[in-house]
Amino acid sequence: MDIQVCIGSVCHLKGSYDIINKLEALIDKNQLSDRVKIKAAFCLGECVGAVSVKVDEDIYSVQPDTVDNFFKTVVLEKVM
Amino acid sequence: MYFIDTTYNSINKYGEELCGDHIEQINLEDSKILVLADGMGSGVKANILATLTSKIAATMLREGSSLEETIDTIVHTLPVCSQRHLAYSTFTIIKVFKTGVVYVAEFDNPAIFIFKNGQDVPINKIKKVINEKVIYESVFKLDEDSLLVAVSDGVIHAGVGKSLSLGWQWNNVNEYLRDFSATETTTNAVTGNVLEVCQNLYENQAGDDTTVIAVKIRHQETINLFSGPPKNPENDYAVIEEILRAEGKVVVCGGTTASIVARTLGTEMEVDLSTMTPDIPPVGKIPRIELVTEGVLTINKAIELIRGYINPGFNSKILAQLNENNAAAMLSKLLIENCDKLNIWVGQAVNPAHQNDSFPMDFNFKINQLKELGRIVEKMGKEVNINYI
Repeated sequence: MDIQVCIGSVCHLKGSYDIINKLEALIDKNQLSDRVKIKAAFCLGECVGAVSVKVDEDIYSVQPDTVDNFFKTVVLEKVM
Repeated sequence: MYFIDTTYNSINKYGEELCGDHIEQINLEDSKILVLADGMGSGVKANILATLTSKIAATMLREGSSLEETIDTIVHTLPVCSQRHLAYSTFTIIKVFKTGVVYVAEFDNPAIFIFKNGQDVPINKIKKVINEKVIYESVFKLDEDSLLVAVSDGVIHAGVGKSLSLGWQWNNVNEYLRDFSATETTTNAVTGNVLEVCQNLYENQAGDDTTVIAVKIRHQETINLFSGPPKNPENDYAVIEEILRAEGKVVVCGGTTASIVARTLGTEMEVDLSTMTPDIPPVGKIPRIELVTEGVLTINKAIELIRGYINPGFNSKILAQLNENNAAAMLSKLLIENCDKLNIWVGQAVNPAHQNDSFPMDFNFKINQLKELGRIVEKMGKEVNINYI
């Protein structure tokens, strides 16, 4: 499964860098690195809800302090 | 017709805020004129002498005055030093034509250096006496393998009383430059390297203002910088086709723009996460596109870097910053080293990013930013065109 984190201008300012690092740490911690890949995407077109994170065909609005929750409710839910 | 690639920079004498060497560059339709003046003494006085001399010479020569008239004017205009009762500034005038023909007039500065394929190129100099001043004139031709370097005496004297008792000396500088010219191709590298050696010889406390000019000619390299989606989405395909057909390399700055380009080309964009930094989003990769970056943040940082690069006063940190692995450094480096002509294609559509009210950079900011980028690239002596699409 791919997780695409938007790194367009707005998302970058709102914390893409932190979100990518946190997600990578969470994937490592849960030993999912062979099943979940983090990718960056240029502007997903959902700038109002920055930071945009796309999993499958759904786009979620994630903040650096909601990464844990997002990982639990969306990522783990999908891979488990 | 060639592109004339010139780079110059100076180190101030240790402890001085102003440089006593001054370079004036004038870009003309068919040529570039560079005047290097070294004012007597140091600090404010030297700075005024050098600035006046180079400005007068550059302006008069641009307007078509003869060398005699120009030198006569300089001699009669310079303020006289109250201690030495002299008005004095040495100078080197270099006029390079786009055909490769060079005219040089030298007055009391170290002799110019010319190399081709790692060998010295001997030139004939004609001695001329104007107003009791001995001027050496020469005319010769550069080709793409040649390098012309002019320095102020701060280079020749580098290290006096410190690491070298007699200083670096002309012959040694000539040898060093000859070897260096055989391996290095950019004027920027020549200037930066020589100044770094001088800084070391002076043990970071330059005993004199120290200046280097490097000149090369080469075939013109064009960059097409595309930023912002076209105003009318129906034109996307036609516009991108036009840009890809244009002469030169293509650079895309902007997330939405990059997505449109990838879609038009029928490919997907890859993002190189290793180039991501807390300040600057990473670069993307699209076939046939030289460089893909995010828009406003990256361009903002690139403008800052290029400003630092062209700012007079040697800053060795800027060269390291330009070599960092991030999008802004790559963009700046490309514009500094591999661009003689820049076409900026400004897309005028409102981006999705502009819909986020908390995003501090609005549409006008973007347009002004691209204009500013054009201005500073022009300042480096390059040709800039802005097209609105």
